[in-house]
Amino acid sequence: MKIVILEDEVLARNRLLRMLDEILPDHEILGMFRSVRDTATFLLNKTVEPDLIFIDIQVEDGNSFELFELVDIKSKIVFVTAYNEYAVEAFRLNAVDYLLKPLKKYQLKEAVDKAKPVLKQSISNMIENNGVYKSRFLIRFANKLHSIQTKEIAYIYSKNKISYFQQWDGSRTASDFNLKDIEPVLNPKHFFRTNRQFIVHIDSISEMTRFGASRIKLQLRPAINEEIIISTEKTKIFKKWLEA
Amino acid sequence: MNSALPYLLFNDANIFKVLTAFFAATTLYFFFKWKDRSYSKKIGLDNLNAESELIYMRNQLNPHFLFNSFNSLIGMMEEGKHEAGAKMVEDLSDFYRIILDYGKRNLVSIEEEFQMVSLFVDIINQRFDDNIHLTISDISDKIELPPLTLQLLIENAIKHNEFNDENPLYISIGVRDNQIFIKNNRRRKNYKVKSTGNGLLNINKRFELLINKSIVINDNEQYFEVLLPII
Repeated sequence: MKIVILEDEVLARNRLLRMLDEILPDHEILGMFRSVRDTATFLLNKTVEPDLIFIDIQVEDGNSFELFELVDIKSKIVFVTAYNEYAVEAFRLNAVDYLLKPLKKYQLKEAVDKAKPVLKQSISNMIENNGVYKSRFLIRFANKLHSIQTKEIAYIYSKNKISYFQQWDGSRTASDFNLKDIEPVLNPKHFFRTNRQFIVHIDSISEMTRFGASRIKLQLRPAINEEIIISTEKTKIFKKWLEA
Repeated sequence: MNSALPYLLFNDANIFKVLTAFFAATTLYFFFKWKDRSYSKKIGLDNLNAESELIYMRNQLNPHFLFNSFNSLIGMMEEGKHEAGAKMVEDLSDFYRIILDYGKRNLVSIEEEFQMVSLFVDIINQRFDDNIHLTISDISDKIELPPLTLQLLIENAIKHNEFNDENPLYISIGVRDNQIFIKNNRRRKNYKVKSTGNGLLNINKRFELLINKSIVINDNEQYFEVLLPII
């Protein structure tokens, strides 16, 4: 999910970012701004359409409802404010949600969930259309083509916008696939999306250690020099998956 | 790391103090809300119209200020900024205690108002990187004025002007030619702020009721200044 934030207070913005890390590990911040002016400039010159914009109502240079006069906004909107008196106007602007400060995680999660029904549907469509999971991937990267069998894959990870298919024999193939698109076409019995960066095969996990209060750190084989940490949110589902 | 922080913090003895103060602030808020009812009745008797009475009441309570501060406070706790958090709770408590102490008084001393606006600006500055510079000239005189007058004017200055690291907001308060002045540099917010203008009207009405004198407003591109007659 591609996100833009309009919030003029650093502490408030950092809180929002921390919560988003937890409830929506697969997000990307396109921009963070303190003023209506800077947000409008960004939106008018953007190359990628944000999926979701978080908007504080009173910001550095005035009232952010003015943003809607300056830019035609197609993204989903969630207002985050300490003022309760703007809710009617917010819903007139088709806001997905109107959250009151102090911000609470469960409310933010509800708002984010409301903002992503289209995405959910597209994934379920893919699964329905295919009926079965992929047994083979045709990977195109630069001017080369590779055909890899799903059973050869130990894990898939993304780094610097490139997805790497790590195979059991130690070889590795780069691709321009998006993990988000790969995840639904893999059998969830065998593969698990641990975080934004990794999809792992159940047999590739060589070691698990507790990390912090409620997270888990993984070691994989073939070994890789990256930290793989399962978020608090996902730990429960992960444990279930291991037992299935 | 982040998600584990709150849990670690709750084990800290410091945070217990912060939470206690937090709870106290909330209690004070609701206590005041209750107490405010009888106060607004009194103002009603003073011929202030219903609308400005409402604005005045809301200004006193300042709920969005309280909720924004709470949001920042939680942020500080999560980031392990114990000292800053404790300072903010102390400031909030002192701020709301002054409002409570005002009670039904028609006049308060200028020292009390100074103390109150200093606390207010300190709290806002913790949230906005010390971008408000408040200067209060030494005033030894026993000057009195209607409660929350300076508070409302400072809030207005913050509400109507854009300020950041490069362009701080400078507010000065003092006495000149037998008048109290509150002056700030002008950098109007580009995108209009929802404002009724009732705050200033309300202050004016109070001075007219009390001493039959009006306040003076100087508004230009460089600065905004309000002159209050001395009672």
